[in-house]
Amino acid sequence: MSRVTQLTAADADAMLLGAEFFGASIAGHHLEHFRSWLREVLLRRGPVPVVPPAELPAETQCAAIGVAGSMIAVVELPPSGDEPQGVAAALENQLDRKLGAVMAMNAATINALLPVIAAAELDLPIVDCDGMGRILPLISQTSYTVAGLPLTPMTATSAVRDQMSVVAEAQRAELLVRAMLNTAGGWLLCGLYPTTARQLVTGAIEGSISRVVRVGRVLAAARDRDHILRGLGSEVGATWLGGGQVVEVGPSGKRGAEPNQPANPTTVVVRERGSSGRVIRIEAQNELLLAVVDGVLVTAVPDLICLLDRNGLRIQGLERTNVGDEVDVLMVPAAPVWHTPAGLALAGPQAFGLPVRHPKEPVE
Amino acid sequence: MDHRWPAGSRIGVGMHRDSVTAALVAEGSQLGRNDLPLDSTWQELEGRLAIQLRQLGSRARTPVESVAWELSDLLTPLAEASPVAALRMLPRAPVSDALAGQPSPLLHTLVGHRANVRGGHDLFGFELAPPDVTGAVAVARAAAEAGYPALAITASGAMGCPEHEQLAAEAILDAVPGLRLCLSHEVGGLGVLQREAAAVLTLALQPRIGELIGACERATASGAPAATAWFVAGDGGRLSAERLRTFPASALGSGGAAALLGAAVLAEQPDASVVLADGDSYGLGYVRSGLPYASSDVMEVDRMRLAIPQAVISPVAVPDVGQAGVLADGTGPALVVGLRSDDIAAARSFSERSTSETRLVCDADVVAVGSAVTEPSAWLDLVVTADNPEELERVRGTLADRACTLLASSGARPGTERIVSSTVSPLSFLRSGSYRVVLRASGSIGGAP
Amino acid sequence: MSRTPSLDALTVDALVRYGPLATATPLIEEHFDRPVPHVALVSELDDIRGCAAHTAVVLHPVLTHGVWAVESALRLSWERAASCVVTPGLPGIGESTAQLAKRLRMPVFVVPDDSARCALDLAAAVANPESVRAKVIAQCAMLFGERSTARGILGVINTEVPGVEVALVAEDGAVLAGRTAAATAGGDQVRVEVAGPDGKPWARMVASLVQGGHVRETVRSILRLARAPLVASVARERLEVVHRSARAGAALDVLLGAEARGEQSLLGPSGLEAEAVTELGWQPADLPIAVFLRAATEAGPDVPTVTPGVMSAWQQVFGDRPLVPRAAGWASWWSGTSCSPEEVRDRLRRGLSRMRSPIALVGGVGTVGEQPGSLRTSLVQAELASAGARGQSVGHVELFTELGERLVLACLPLAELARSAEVALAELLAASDRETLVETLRAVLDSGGSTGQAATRLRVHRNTVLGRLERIRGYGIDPDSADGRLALHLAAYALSTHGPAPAR
Repeated sequence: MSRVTQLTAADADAMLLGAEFFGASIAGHHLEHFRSWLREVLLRRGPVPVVPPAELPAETQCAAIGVAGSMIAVVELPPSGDEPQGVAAALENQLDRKLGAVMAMNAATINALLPVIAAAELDLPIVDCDGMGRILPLISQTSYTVAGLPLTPMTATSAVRDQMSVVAEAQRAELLVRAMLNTAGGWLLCGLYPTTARQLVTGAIEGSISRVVRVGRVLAAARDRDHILRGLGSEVGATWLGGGQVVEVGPSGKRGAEPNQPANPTTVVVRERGSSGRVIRIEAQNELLLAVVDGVLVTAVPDLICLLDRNGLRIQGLERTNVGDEVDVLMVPAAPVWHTPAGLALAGPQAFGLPVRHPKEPVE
Repeated sequence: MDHRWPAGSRIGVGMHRDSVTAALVAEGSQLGRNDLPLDSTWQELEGRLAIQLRQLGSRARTPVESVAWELSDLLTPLAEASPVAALRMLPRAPVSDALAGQPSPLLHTLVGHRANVRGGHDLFGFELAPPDVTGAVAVARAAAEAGYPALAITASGAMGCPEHEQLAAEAILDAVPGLRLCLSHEVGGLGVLQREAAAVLTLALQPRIGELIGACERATASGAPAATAWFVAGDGGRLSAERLRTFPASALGSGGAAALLGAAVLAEQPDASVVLADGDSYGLGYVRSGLPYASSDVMEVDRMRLAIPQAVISPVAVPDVGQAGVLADGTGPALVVGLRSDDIAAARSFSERSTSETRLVCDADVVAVGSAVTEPSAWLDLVVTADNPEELERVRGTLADRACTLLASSGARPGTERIVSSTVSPLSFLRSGSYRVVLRASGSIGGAP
Repeated sequence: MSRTPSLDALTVDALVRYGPLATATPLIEEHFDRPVPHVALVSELDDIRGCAAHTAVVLHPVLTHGVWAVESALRLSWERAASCVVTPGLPGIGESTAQLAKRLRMPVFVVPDDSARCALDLAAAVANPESVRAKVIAQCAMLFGERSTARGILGVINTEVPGVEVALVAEDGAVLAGRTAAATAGGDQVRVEVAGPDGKPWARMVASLVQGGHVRETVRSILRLARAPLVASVARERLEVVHRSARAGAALDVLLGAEARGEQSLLGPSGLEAEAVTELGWQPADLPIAVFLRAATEAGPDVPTVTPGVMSAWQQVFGDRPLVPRAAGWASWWSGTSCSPEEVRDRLRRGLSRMRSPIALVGGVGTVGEQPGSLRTSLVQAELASAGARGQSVGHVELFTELGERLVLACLPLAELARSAEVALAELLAASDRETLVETLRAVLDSGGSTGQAATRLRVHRNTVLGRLERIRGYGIDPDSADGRLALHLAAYALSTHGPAPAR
């Protein structure tokens, strides 16, 4: 897999498309202004170096930048443009130490773009890694947590420019952030997981930024569905689970909202054509969590399930999925850390209240 | 399901850039059509349009009850619309130029003057900053002094609480009477930039649409005295003259929607997949029970997505290898039509090269025929909160009533309103119980179907 | 617990009709014939892996977190060859789950309340099948009393008795009512003879069973119970048809008589006519379009003999629309205010193709009556048109207005003509290609002697027609003879519509 060594304004298109792909569940919010913002910053500040953790000096102070909250809130209440450097400066104050590199909390949707903007504004490199390799609903559901790295001290800023800092255990920090979101306008930009480059060598999912760009390039160049499926297969090992028409989108069962999980459980049913057409049921709660094909669980969170709109050839988020849509259902395997017992405990189906073993989990 | 096309005699008029086609349709059959070149002044044209309508009307068995005009071709290029001013009310003004403006070059051109003042709510209507009404008035004055006749006002969270937009508007109308305003919550949709873009387009198109509507109304009154003039909307519905004057962007893309309907009428297939040849590209849309498949937020103007309902027409390639499933959706062969008369050759070429079973519909102006059978429609696209399924159902019921009321006020005959689709999607990463509800209602101007 | 299903086990169907699944909502109505010897209440998906074959798998509410879990359970149950799956209600269970159930051929039941309770009830029923069977017999006995037709009575057995299909089969093997499959299916059967109203052997009930054992005895008891109501129903049905047709015939005579005398006054019918009108379901304001049915061939049983069969076949297709026996066939009418003769023709044509009449029929349709209530002219036209329809394919319906000059031909006794033509043209008819020659002769005469037109009509080259004419002349027949042309034309027409079977 080719590694991306720097990001320039010319990469903005690919960044946006790739970021949208890994944010599969919420894809489809048009983020044109984020593209413009990223391009403007990269033009003004120059290219941002993309460096693997092992190539940074071991003691380099790093921290993740990422938004917690709702994408719809971000669209309704766009940032002003100085939040990334603002939150980084606040974290430096809190740590009493300058940052040497910025990393992504999760290189997906705007959270793939914001750390790049922060790095460009601060004249720092971006570490070629992230903590999720996708979106997961909780800021504590990261490989950083699996590796035992502390989530806090963290700082956060809102669109109203409220400034907050939190020092707490990961679980508590999570709950505090959720509580703040309700009055902060629906989203907070956070600086979190302060750590060193040395810790990232084992504690991060490596290559995530390069991967976003590579996938973005596949999507940008794609002219037809076969091209996309082949490209995603070779770049990120995506497999095709099936495809057809969405015949049902609705609330799923009586599974109550888990206390620490925002939003409500939803089910999406895709039916393949023909009399022997398989029924592909996707269970979702914020994220696409399970794919059950004719009653057989074929994949589950933390593997990435995504819906490719066959007509528009774009990844289609849950909120934009309607009955009648024609989609392909794809699965991208999660990073190996997620298939370890600790990874599955943190982000496997049971962490989402689904009493089912991940297909890759060994039977006891 | 048995679908019946409207029974009364109706005329649909497709206004293309260089010609006008009118078609007389009753009970799903085309009873006559005629064409006019669009080469004269509007004043002359009005008279000729009236004659055209009269000739068609003489072939009808019953008096013509409505004339539906399809104007979208005459609204483009959008860049020629009149520039306007824009005001955003946000808790904090953008510091990045990229975030301050509109990312689309077109909208950038259409906004000649812009400013920000404090204000705004969150999605649920919770105030984030007090409204700076004095600042808003100053912005309006400056815009008027700079020669801009219209101002788009967009506050964050206006869909949850429109109060800040309204307060600013009241003060501005007092201070700068005559300035045309569009408040973003009136055009609707999620997203400050999206709503602003829709409000800007609305204001920018109003002068031109006003002239067009006037001409169409006069031609209708003189050529088909018993008929009402209607205008085709982008979702394949129809709007009154008054509503289109207020929201001209609703007519964008109406040609495609009308063409989908026209193909379905001519092929006698109220459920159909339709491939539209439009210039050198092809689009795929669907008709379900006599209505184009449409969505509340698919309209894209220069890559900006707007919350204006529009028929869903997705690009499709030829030969459609690997897309066989997309075309064959169990409603019979996909219909292939040309959007305008000079697109018919391209339609034929698609039909011949397609790997799916297709049926070429090439013997008439599909836009005019489709325009004739349009019916009033109404949409609601809102964020609601509900703590349990029962409450959600209640909210949904209330919204359905609201959509039907909206429909009746836009000219549908009472009793013909029905909810065509109603989708509820939980919103990710917001507090539990947040949903987006999208409702589409349709009615009929004629008798009960 | 036994691991193989006992022959005496209740079926899913029995549990649905008479057991605890009665209040459950089935997602699909198929594959109910499976025995259910075991019941298991599962609270984890993995529990299903331990179920025996033919188990009714009941999902505990704690398991059903979402529809996906129900579908996973469905799949696992299928892998274990379960008999059915029972799940507590859950929003979202619907069409897609039903589709999967259909594909996996697995009955799924949704219970409104506590599924654990349902599991207990199921276990009790499965342990004591006799009580369920007693309920079946009692239910059938009660329903027999409420049914008055053979179809209804057999329907009770077919719908109420799980795992059984029954047919009423006549002495000659024809299936009179019930499910044909029951009579033809091999395997385990129960037969019970039924005597006719006259006490002579008339038919038998044949029930085919999915499983034997104690079920056989239950079924035999039920069939015996059905015997008496069946005999009564048959007698009643025969009488009713005869009576009804006689009354309708008389009523029509009254009406037509009144019309002929010009008594159809503005005041409308009164007295006797009014009674007749009611009898016929007549709408006095209607402009009627008459239709007439008759046997497709001239030779055949007479009208009164086949009337009951024709009328019952008519009722199955056309419901309550009157059908009145007349001398040459059967008359009916449509309202000309709501449809045209063409539409009536099309309806009749579609109806005839679906009618299971004891004899092959053709039909004719008259024009719209000139004034309200005037049926007479239209009826005469329809009768003529139906005669014209003879000689066409079975089920053909002719419009009077399209009859044209064939109106005359319609009145000719074509069968007799054909017989005399066979004698007159014996030599020609001995030829191996006599059909071709007769067709050619008719075509030439139809075309006024033009061989060119005849060739076009027959779609052959003109030389071919000339060649065939030479051969026809060779048999001593001269189509050009002015004297013989009319007779010859009629003979050719009669032969081509009523001719003898083709030569071998």
